[in-house]
Amino acid sequence: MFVIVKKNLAFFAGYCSVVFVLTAILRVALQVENATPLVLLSGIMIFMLVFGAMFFNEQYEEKHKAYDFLDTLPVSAGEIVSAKFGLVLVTVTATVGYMLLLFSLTKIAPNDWALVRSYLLLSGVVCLGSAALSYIGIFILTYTKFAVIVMSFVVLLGFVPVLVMKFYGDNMHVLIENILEFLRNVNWSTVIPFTLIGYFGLMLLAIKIKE
Amino acid sequence: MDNTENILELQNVHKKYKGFVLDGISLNLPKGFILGLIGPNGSGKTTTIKILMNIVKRNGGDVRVFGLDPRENAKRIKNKVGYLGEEQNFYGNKTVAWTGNFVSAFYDNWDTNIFQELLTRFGISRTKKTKELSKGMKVRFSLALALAHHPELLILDEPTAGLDPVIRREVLELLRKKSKSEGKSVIISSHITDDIMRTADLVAFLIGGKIVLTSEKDELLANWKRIHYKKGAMDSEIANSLTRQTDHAFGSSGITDRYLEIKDSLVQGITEGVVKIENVNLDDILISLVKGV
Repeated sequence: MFVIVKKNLAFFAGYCSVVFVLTAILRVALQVENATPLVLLSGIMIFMLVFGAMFFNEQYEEKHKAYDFLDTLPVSAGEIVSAKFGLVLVTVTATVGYMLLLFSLTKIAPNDWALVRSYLLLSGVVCLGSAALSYIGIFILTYTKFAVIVMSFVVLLGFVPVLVMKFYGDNMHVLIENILEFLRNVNWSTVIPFTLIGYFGLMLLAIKIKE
Repeated sequence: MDNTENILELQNVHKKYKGFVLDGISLNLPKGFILGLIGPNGSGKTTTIKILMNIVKRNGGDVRVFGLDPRENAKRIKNKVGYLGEEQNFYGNKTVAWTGNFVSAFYDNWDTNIFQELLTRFGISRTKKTKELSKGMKVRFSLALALAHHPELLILDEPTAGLDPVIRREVLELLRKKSKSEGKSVIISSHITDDIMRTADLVAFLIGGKIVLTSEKDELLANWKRIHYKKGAMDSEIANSLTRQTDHAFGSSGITDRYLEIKDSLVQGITEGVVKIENVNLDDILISLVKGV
């Protein structure tokens, strides 16, 4: 399994380096009291990093018919899938950890720090779930077909702010307050173990599909 | 041969695709033998081989490789099998050396010396990227990968496709040597019957998803003969039983699949020069079986 992790690591390590350096530069460059834009951007970066590396890796696998190649070798579907899931888990953990470390060095009020931490952890959790579902989608549909669906979905996401603004209108501050309230009240000591259990469950499902 | 241990056993194996059915095939491969799987394109050779490797899941029947079911023991089986597929897929931007190193990590018995020796023998540069290898080079590289972990069984799907005659001969001789001197079992599929003729001990004809004939090659060639005869020179029942009948200057000719059985009744005609016996090759047998006449 380690040899598969090692092969895929190049993609994830490359993206990690770029995002880590970029985030650090932004952190140094934006010496601002209000770190909100950088926090929001960091959450998005977690997605960009994981999905960028993952999709680039899967495109490469498809281009070289890598799964056909691996099928001829003494390696089980379980090893192939767990290598991929493991790498995503490590990447998300490392990235969220790095972001948290970066913001812990920023002057943020204790009350806001809880929000920042919660927002970054939530980004990590959602990213893990989306990545697991994406792998399942790729194993069912193949990369190209799945990528087309994802692209269409991303385009549709552009309409979400429009719909939100139409729905909430002048009460946007209520929505924002609700989100902040939600972030403040998430019990991470419960959510994180459940997330990991769910992620492991999706990994087992992905192995079943790959088999 | 009945008491010999079977390395590979297929019993009534079924696989259904849209527009294709592998229809209850049964095959055995005893240890140390080379089985040639012959059939026209689309007859199910690759599907059969992929079922053995658990790359394709069968719909029914029983498959045993080293006594194990590939569906449950694919990893254990693949560790002892050298496989060369119809298509050679590698990470194109990686070198031969990288690929060898990558593949070696999966096998318990990988032998770097043998791998290097085979690369040298096949004239493959370690520093070349796999996408830069020609079709023939890719086949040879795959063969080097397939042989470098001392496999007990070689499963080869059209191994000589795309090879020039010199390399083709070399590959076939290598396989023959591996089987005879090292006791390796080999299943080799091909529609090039000449390859099977050179290498196989046993032959199975797979046509339209069915095994229509299996036999030891020598017994097969002893029984299948082309008979040329002048009109009235041969028993009419035998004459009518011949397939692929043609008329020509000598008289008529046709193919029999039971020469050893009818041999005695032809002796007189052969002595008088009105009956002539000619050997057939596997191509003739395949065509006879495909056409069914």
